[in-house]
Amino acid sequence: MVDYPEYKPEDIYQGLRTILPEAALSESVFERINSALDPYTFASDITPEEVPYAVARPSSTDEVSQLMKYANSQRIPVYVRGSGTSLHGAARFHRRGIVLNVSRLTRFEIKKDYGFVEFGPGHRVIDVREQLEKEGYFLPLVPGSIRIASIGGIISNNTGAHAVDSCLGKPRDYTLGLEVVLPTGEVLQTGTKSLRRLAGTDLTHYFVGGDGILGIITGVRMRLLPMFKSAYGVAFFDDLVRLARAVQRIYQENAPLPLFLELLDKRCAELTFEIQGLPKPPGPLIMFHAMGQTEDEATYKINQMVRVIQKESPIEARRIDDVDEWHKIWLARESALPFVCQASKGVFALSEVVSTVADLSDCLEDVRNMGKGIPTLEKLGEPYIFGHIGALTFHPTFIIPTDWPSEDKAKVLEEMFAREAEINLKYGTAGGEWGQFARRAPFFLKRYGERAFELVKAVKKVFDPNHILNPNVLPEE
Amino acid sequence: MDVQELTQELRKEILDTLSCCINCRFCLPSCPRFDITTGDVSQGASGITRALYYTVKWGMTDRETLQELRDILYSCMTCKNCEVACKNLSTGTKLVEAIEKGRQLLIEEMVGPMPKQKEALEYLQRYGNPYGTPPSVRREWLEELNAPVFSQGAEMEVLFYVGCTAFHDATVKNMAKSIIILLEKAQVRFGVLEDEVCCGNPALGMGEVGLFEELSEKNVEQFQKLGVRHIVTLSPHCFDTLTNRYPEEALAGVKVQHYSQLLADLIEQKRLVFKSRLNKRVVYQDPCYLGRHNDIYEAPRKVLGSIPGIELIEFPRARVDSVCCGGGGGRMWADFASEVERIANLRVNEAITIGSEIIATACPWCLSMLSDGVKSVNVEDKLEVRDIAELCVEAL
Repeated sequence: MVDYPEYKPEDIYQGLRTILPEAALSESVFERINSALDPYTFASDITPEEVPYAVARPSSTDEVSQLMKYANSQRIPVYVRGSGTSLHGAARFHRRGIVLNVSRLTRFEIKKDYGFVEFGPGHRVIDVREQLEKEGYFLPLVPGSIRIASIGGIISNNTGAHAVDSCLGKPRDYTLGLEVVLPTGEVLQTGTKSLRRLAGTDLTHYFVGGDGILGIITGVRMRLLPMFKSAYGVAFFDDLVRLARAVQRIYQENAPLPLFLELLDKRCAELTFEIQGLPKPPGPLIMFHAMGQTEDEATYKINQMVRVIQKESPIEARRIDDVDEWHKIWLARESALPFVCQASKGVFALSEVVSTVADLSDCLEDVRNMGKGIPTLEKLGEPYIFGHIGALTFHPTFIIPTDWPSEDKAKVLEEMFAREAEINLKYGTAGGEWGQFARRAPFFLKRYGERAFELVKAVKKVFDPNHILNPNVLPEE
Repeated sequence: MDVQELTQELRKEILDTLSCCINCRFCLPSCPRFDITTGDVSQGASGITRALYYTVKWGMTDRETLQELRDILYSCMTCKNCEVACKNLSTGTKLVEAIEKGRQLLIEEMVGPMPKQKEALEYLQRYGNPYGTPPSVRREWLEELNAPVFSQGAEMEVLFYVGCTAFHDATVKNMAKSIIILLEKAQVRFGVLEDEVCCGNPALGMGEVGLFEELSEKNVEQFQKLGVRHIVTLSPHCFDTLTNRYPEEALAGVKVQHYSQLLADLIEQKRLVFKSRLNKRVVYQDPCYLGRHNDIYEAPRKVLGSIPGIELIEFPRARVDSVCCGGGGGRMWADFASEVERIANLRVNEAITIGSEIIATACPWCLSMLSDGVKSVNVEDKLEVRDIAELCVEAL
């Protein structure tokens, strides 16, 4: 257990005041409380003792560097935060420190002549996407929380979210270089300015998908991806097993891979289709989106997918030519989580189960039975199932009544993450969206063994000798 | 219920309402208040309600903390954008309801409202309006407006509920005058109240529920005494208050409309026909309490669409996504040091960007705030702010 000295918030504020401008600091108790919350606070609420000393919102790399030098010299934990939307506990801490909010690190420049874009970590993902789209480019990451999630966290987690990895890749595949402030305050430049990426050691890869434990990303250089043409399809099935087999076939029969391929189980589909004014779905469904250089290419890909899917005797499988219909079906998927919450009058516990291609239908069966025989989880019945099945990810979701005591809510989360770990272990997979540590550290230990975990901790120590950067993410010794 | 019981009840209701919130922050990008601050999460949407939640949950009672909470809680314009985002993207938490209860709690704790709002409440108590307009001034203005007084037995079909702002602000007075001209033109048998008191909306917005109840009782008593069956309001705020906040039984059988709805009906019935052309590009600003709070989006657009020559364009964020002018939730009487910009100025700039020559609206506070915005942005030569009734009169 690492011991950190105890400080008075006012002393920390005064200390920070000597290195940062007033506009970069907040000592407001309410800002400090808000900066300690995450989406699972309902189950594990913060206490007054956990309220951070201060919240800093630096506006430059130099300010981040100064802050880290100060925190490192005083051995004060620093929790880096964008919008705090992490679903695996990365934004949740249990001891005091300084919250470093990246929301003012928002430089942005598209360098068309070089073929890349450079941006700070504080942008909301949607803002980056919109700015790129205006210039005819596509941002190769699509989280469900796109409206609010900040892009620094997405890069730190290396998540493409909805996107099918085998089609699009992950942010790491597009990241040419980074600017990083180390926990000790030094500034690193990694990678290259060329579209020809490094062979051999590239420190960029230590930080993209580094769970935020080695350094603070203050700048990202990402390859520009020209906008493409799209085509769409949908297929309804009698049951989830056939649905899963149809997706397996897409992979196993070498059909073109979709950019997105999403699943809604029957309960979710019925609820959300009604809200979007769509006809009642006859069963669970998949919706898929193909990309192509031309419309013909995208359409060809969808037709090929439909052809393969039809081998599993769906109730219906077809290309969607009406873009409005596609948007409504996509909205139905996107609104699944809010509407199941509201219909069931509760808050959600969302997990992330990842399958292999070969085990997809077995894994889906395990997901359906996720709560069976588990004391608290079972009380909530079968989970709602939706997710990025094309990316081999399910999001089984339990809705917890708001009036349950917080201990029971906490129990649900504990049991759910334990079951998530068991299923991922069974299939030899790991979370593909939310990072590997924080709540998932026990899984990492089981999945990759003690030696691997020791190595990660040793690497962490090299970068962060005083263990001050996001100590909540990687459990303390 | 004594004060202690009331505050306990309020605390419980606040915690219950906010227990649905999961801090997902999906509401934050929709919050116009957040957009005009320096980016502290606690200054917008669920950041505001989390401040309230933990104050109640942790029983924070020291004066300094409560005053900090007051400055956060009263900064909300109650525009409801956050609730719409929460309904579409998350758990459907009633954030505005919680904020109103929080304000009520701070009133009971003698911490709220904001200093300038206290003055408005005193005026409401003394004069029946939040501006301190003496009744004599109001009567003079009514004479000048030449509005018939509503009286029982005079076969009057509509009570035109003018509201308080028209007697305080010359721009809004012209709005009232225009509505009167249109009602006369359409031969609507209408009258106004000789001694109208405020509907109580500002008191409600500031959390002074006791005063709101007093005012609402006075109004209801008058409506009942005069046998009113159909009320048409000038302000969306009065419309919302009468429709959604007065006890249902008090106005049972009484039809309440916003004037834009009545104008749309009159146009439909061909009782109002516009003959003059207004060759202008006009963008319509949806007032929050007409649009998001009451789902009235079409009637005002129908009115504008019936005026020959008007090219009706839309803000990128319109209808349910529309942005507040900055005047709701008691904000007509409060400024905050934490703000670095005015929402109305942002809206005015948006109107300029889309090439609008006129911002048309249907709310006295939008009219006033956006008119100030045009002056502040210094675009008076390019952009006007007009009420839809004024445009209608011009087109007669």
